[in-house]
Amino acid sequence: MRPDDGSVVIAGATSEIAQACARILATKGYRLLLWGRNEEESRRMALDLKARYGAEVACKKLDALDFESHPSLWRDSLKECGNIQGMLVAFGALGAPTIDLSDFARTRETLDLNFTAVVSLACQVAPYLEERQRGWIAVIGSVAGDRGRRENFVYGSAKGAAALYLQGLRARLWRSGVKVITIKPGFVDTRMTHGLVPARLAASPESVARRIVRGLERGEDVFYVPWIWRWIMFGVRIVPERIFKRMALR
Amino acid sequence: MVELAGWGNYPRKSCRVVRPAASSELSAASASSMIARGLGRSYGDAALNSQGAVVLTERLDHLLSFDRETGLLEAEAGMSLATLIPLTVEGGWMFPVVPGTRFVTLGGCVAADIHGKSHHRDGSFGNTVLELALLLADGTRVRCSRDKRADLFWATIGGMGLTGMITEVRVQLQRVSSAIVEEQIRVGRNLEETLDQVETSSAEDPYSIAWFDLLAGGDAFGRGIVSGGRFVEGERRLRPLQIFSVPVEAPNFLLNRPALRAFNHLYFQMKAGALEKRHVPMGAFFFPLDALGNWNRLYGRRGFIQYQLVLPLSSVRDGFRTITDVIRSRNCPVYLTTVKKFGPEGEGLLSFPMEGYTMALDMPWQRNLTEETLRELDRIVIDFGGRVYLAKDARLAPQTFRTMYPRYPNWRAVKISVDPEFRFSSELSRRLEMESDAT
Repeated sequence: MRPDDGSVVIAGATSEIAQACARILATKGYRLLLWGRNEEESRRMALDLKARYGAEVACKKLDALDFESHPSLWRDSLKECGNIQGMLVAFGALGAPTIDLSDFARTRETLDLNFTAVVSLACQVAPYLEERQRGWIAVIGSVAGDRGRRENFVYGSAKGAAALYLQGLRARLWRSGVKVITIKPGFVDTRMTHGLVPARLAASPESVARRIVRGLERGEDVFYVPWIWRWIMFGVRIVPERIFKRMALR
Repeated sequence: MVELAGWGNYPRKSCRVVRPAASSELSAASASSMIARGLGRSYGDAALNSQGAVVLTERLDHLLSFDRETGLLEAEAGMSLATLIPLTVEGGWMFPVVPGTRFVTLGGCVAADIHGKSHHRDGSFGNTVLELALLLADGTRVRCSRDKRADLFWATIGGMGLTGMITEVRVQLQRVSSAIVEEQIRVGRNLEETLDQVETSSAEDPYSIAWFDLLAGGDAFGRGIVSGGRFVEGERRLRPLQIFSVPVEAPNFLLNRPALRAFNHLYFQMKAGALEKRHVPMGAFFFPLDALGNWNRLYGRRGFIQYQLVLPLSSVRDGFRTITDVIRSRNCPVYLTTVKKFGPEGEGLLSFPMEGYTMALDMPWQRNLTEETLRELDRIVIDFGGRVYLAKDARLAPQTFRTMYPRYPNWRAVKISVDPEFRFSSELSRRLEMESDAT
């Protein structure tokens, strides 16, 4: 992964983790293309990156759930940047705080945002990178995707599905030299989790971003951040189902 | 709900906090009462709100523009000087006015109309602000400056966040040659002598601050060290800040009178014996206490108050003598005293500085510090024509405040015009009974 090898696309650029990643990448000299839902916020982010680091930053509007718009977004992005080396997918949402089993519309939206939208974008980017014979796709998943929990299984199943998809994509693309990177953060102190967890237990977006960029540069396959979550989830995964189903975890 | 406090750790209030992650997430409809909070460096209750919401601005941290040719900078109000200064200095620019710590937000600098070691020449932060963007109580966003809605501009500067939420700040920086300051030390062996040295330093040095020892007994009372500085040529990179942080609130006995007396004595000897002139990194010169993270925890669970007053030029000597007499006779635990000469008053309607001398007294909430004593200090300050700084205050009474701030009625008129329902309110505004009609 090199700064001069093409732009880096950040999908869901205004998420706090994405912003922190963008800042680090900008200091390293990467050219950035921000895909965000809120164009004003993307614009501010671009101004910030330019003013702080003199970075080259472009913005495009991304509506993750509007799958029909993704092909033209990708075409326009390629036209604008010429060369794209990789994509970091950083959007996602927890969905409803309590899961209403009968509310399929809401459930579907959460699944679509956290899984289908990721696949939709991968369908645009993966073929391009495969042909190019280099590059990377990195997706911010979640530890919630490791096991279905009572509290957040809709979100968790989408993240889990994404991890499986990426796992297969990784195998498919490795011969072309394209890396597929699955990032699994634990609790991160962002707008998504503010008030849900004591701040002490949540990692800062900046520290998570540092680990993510390191993982991108090394081309790691799958990693947890902070590292301790690897062991926490190992413990979570080995609990027998008949016990786990009774547990209320926070 | 989170328990929040100012830097003095007094008072502590349980507050509902919201933390918008982007400018577009700001809403005046968050609550019926809200106040913005930056890095929480005001000492008292200015950034607390137990009756509504406290809006944390730390994630509103986009730098919108920085022109390295002209030194014009515009940024969201949650950006801190700690983040900005290394950036600007590298480009050869610096904020003309900075407070005693780099851990303040731009919004906080405006709301408290902070002053620094350069006030005698450069005035307060408001002098360096060109334009502000505000979110008003009715949800509208406005920009104000000296030419556009000037009344709102000067009500917001020093307005303790009560005119609306400051969202963006545009500042004019000044050129600097390096990140190195040449510091000149002057010594006073007693109160009068140290005040003389403050006078001299203020006449000669662009940056000047004095430390006084009010615990020393006898003739040494009021001895002090005056530190004057100026930028010199050198490298433009700030030294990285190594912070040793106080991890927990210290036990109440840690900071005590004999210990502080001994510390003061050692500090005085050390500084008085040091080289008269030397080069120091600008971080150490402007923000000496930043190296000790969370130093306010040294004051323990009960916390402390910083009583910062200013007296007009004509009454400085008499006023300071009267105040220090009270401190001595009541045996007040004054653990840190700084003094500075101020330049002319600014145009912020609730701004603190006036032409004269300011004195800041750090006092732990201990037996020898009583509200009665503080009221007596208030009376002295009023008698000598001075006032107390709201950004450090935690206990001024409503009437005392109104006497000290004669431009309050003008400020209140602007406040009512943009926020008649007092949607922007805080523990401070309620304590000072700003919502009531009394003027």
